[in-house]
Amino acid sequence: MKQGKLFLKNKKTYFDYAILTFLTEVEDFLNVKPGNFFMLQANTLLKKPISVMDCNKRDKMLKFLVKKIGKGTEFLYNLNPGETIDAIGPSGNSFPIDETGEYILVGGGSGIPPLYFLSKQIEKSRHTVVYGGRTKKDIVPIFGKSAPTIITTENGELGIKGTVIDGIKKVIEKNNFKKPIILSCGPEGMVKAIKKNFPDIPHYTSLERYMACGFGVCLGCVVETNEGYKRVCVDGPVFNINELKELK
Amino acid sequence: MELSVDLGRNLKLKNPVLLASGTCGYGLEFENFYPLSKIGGICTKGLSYKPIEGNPTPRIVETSCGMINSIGLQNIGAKAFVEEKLPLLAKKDTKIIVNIFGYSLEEYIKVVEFLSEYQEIDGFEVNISCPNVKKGGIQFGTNPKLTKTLVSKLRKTTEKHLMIKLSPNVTDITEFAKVCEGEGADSISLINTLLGMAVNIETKKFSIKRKMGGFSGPAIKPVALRMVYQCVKAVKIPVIGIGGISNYKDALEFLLIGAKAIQIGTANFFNPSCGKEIVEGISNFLQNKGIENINQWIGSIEDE
Repeated sequence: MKQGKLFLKNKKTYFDYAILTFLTEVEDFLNVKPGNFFMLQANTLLKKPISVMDCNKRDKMLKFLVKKIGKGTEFLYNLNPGETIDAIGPSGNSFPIDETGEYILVGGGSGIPPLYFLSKQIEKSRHTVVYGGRTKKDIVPIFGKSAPTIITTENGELGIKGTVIDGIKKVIEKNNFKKPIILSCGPEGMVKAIKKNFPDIPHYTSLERYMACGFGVCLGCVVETNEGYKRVCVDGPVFNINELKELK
Repeated sequence: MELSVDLGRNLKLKNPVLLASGTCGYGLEFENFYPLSKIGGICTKGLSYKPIEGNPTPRIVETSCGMINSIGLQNIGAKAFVEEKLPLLAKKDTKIIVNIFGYSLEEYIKVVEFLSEYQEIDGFEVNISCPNVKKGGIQFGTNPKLTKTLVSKLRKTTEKHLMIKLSPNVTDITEFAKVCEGEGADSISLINTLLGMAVNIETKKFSIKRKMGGFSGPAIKPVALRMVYQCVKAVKIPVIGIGGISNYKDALEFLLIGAKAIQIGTANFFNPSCGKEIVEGISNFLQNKGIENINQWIGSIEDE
């Protein structure tokens, strides 16, 4: 983990979302795994934790997806190519994956970035993405044909009408997975619903929390687990769902 | 350029920059950003004799120019500290000031007694000012009689440097500064966080679970500067300035009014390189002013 600069090379917006492509000279910034995040300068006192959406070492490129929600994310959304921001990272653990796994990657709204990154790291034949949102405005067109994807919207504007639960059912029906594993990131309501509907499927989720530092010292982002409080920033953000007391 | 300052009782810092307790963990995390040898020392996360789990979440919220926290003194306990952290920390060329607290007088004494055996520890900072626990902590720092008893007992318990961290949540902080000096404290550090609150009009909930918490960050600097100045005038023992210090200019202000050293708090969160940057900034500033020894700057404000 290091502190350094990110130079905004390119920006694409989609309704309230912006895909920010940065270049960096900080080599340690490019040692990133899916699940990792950076603390990004955001015109607020504290930096904001934002998950990595993609990384390309050769091009020294780091990509983030931000949704305009508060003052900090609005600043990031409004950045223009050519601007430079301060960053700290990469921080956190990553999703547990191995070569034999059968994975269902479930992303809700702005929770999709780490799953996009993850989908690029594992073979296409072994996973399917379920990407859910309220309306089509929440489904950023990032996947193209890069991964098998099922889209769900609550109003039916795109993909299956329903929630990610409907999407997951579809994946299970279609793929004949023997021992599927769910890897998720999104609103806590969504994560709880997945746990409730598929209690027997192993499930790892990436949590989002307010953080003051993002590197383990403030203890502001802790989550209650079976082993007491753990720091989301360095012990997480990815946890086995059975470990989390708050989601029981 | 001479940057070293002497806080008394064998605690001489290579420069006047310390990291404040609660904002630097047990110090080692900062090695990702700069060698700890660059700074004068660290004040570790507050330690109790036994581990403490801390408060329920949410624990932090950002406000204008500051943040409110209610961590609740979560820590690994004194034994785990000396086994897991101290050996690694002792290899770093910087002073180790261990911040301690207890829920009762006996617990304060127990942790100081236990840790005093360790040569690697250069001094204690006694937290009598944390606003985030139900008992202990701040009750010792807001009642002069309790402060007096506590400091007196701790002085008899340890030969190591004893720095007492004072609370701003009192009517007259100098009263407490004088009590500490009178009972044999070697230095005082101030200010700890101001008691604050934040609410959310969308959810109609308090922003942190315990409703009130410690307010810190750039917003509190003028309050801290005023209180440090008052204490510098009130006592002869060294005063260590804390409160909203984010850059070398802030640090120089505290030193100018007479703080012998400073601690960086909330700024460590948003700029973890801040410790190193402040040391460099102070050095460059003094050099440009033609001042060869930092002690010529400390307390040199034109005070008529």
